[in-house]
Amino acid sequence: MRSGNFKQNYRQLLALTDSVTVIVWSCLLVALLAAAPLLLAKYYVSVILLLLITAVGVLGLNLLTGTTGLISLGHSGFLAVGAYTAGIVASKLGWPMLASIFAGGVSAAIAGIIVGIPSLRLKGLYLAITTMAFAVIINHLILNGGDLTGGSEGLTVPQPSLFGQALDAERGYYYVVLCFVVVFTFITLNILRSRIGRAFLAIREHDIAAKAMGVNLVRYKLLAFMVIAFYTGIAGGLLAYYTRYLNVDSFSLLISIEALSMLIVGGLGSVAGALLGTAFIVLLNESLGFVFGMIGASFGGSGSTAAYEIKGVIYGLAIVLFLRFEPDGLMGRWRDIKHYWTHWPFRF
Amino acid sequence: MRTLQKLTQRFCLGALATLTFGSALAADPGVTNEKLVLGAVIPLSGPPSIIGKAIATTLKVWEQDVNSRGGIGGYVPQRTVQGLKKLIDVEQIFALIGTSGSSQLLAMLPIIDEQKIPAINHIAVNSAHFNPPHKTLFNIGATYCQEVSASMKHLVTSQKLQGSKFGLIFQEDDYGTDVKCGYEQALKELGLKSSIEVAYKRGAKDFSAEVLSVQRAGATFVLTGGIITETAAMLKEIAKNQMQAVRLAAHPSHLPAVLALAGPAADGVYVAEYVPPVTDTQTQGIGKLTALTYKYFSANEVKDMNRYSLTAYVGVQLLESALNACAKNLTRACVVEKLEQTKNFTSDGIMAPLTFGPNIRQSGTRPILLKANASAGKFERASEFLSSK
Repeated sequence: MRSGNFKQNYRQLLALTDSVTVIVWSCLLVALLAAAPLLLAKYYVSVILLLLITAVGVLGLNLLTGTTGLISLGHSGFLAVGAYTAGIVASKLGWPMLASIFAGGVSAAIAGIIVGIPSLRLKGLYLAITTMAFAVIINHLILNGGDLTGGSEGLTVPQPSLFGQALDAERGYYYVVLCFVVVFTFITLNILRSRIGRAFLAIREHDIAAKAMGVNLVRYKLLAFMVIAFYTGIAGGLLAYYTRYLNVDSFSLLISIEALSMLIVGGLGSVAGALLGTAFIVLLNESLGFVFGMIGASFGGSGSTAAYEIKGVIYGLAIVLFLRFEPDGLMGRWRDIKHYWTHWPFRF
Repeated sequence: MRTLQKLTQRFCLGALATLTFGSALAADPGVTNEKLVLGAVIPLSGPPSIIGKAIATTLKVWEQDVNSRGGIGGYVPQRTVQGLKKLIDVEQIFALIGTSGSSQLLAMLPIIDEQKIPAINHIAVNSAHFNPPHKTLFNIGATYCQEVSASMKHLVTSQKLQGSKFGLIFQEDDYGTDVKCGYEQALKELGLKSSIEVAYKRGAKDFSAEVLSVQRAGATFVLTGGIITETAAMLKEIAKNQMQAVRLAAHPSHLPAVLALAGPAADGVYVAEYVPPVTDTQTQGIGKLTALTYKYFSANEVKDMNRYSLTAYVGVQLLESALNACAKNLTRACVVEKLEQTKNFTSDGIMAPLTFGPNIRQSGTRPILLKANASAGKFERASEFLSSK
């Protein structure tokens, strides 16, 4: 009797998945997401839209932090580079939407290579601080960018349009973003099953051992930074077209921290975990907003305003408790549930 | 009859108000035969909540007051873009009576324009809000540039400070840029020169280097371009260094917190404003708002009132006037038309009379100079309403 999931050839080993159930549920999820604009009010679609844009950036960060083991706090900087590049080429040069978003990704990727160079010699907290400095520098450059970036006054981005057709944020543009998420999820899964993905994993486990195995550390560490910066730059471009107004306030360091918390809550190193973590954090914030809106309204008077302060405390507390009691993230919890049902009545 | 219903939500509160209304040709969202739904996007958590909470209280006072008066026209009557979308799509608001900060409003503008939502900006006015004009957005109050320029010119000429050496400490953001604009404009029009301009990064807590630079430049007139804690820290540093200088600040410093934080160091500091001190209950409009707040809430809410309560009150009164004028045909287009036709709308002394018109989307720009009385723990009038030029 087989007691595990064995791969008998390389084809099976390299397959995206060997589970029909996973394929069916994934297709169902995409179908549900595609149907959302038809079923939900615009506001709820906008929440999902923001969640999807965030997911693209978090998928990238997962490749760097979760897969390669390099900590970056410069995510907000890459996001800003992507958003501002897309915004500038769209508003000042009149580039079409897809080209502008791609330009955002490419410019962020170039910034990623520049930031990646110190990563060749730095690890852990030292690397985190270096990348954080990058984000600070980017904010400073934007503020002093004059007419190019709009400085402190910000930059207006044109309405999204495709082939000359203006797109409504919660309808046409939603599907553009959904396509980006699906494509980038496939790209991530493909990177993970390729030589590049295995090299990233080897670097995470022990970079000197990886080097001894023939992994070129310079090349792959730089590649990791370039890839995540590209992902984040694309997310920035998508965000620019969603908000249609860019201001340096939108790219605070808190974004980098929040992206890391999404990864940790979802489960480091897992694509599904990255997506789950993103959904958890975004929806936690929204649902707390809803609950406290209700509580606030029932209090009336000044009680309704005090409720919003409590919401912030509960949001932070929920994340801390989650990290304390489920350090493997939501994917860890999912694996435990799956094993329970697979191996029942045995404990393991 | 329709009741006013107010919505309030998270970072950005959607203050929702349901006004009592009668029969109306309700073609736009937020209007039914029983109620009128209005929303506001204002900060209710974190440091900016000192502003948002004062506004929320005033909006609630106004809601109670309007409904107690039988509603509008004799009928019985909630992160920024997301907040606005929620107000529009979930709460189906008719109009927006709070638009958060300057850049937040800029982010919301495409939606306000597309949805043609009547909106009153009474929180932070920036030239980009009305230049070019946006059809449905009405801004009340001066920009920092306008208020600082006019107030500084008045202060220099009235106190014969032309021989002073002028210095500026400003924040490196849109707020600071606007304050700097007023400072440079005033000096240019007075034919004077700046001795020193020092920029600081947002979030700075220590201003010893900045104040020392200004002192070394020999400044005897300092424009302290901070917000709350920044202004307080600058004033304390100036006092510590025993600088004998005339100090002027922009209206974000017109908050009790600045007096509390700076203590005696705040005494005598001038503030460029466009509303009188909130403690000036002799002013009819302020007395009325204070009485209403006592009536519907408590002394706690009165204590939390500040300058933003006053501007919010003027904003809702202006909207109320337009809603009343459209009572029998309550559509967004009608309300925008009536707001555009506003001529010399008085707010019982809270602001200079408001006038709008075709392509005129900013009013109430006449500044008033205030002076801090630290021992009394309040601000006092140092001038009447000045010319906006």
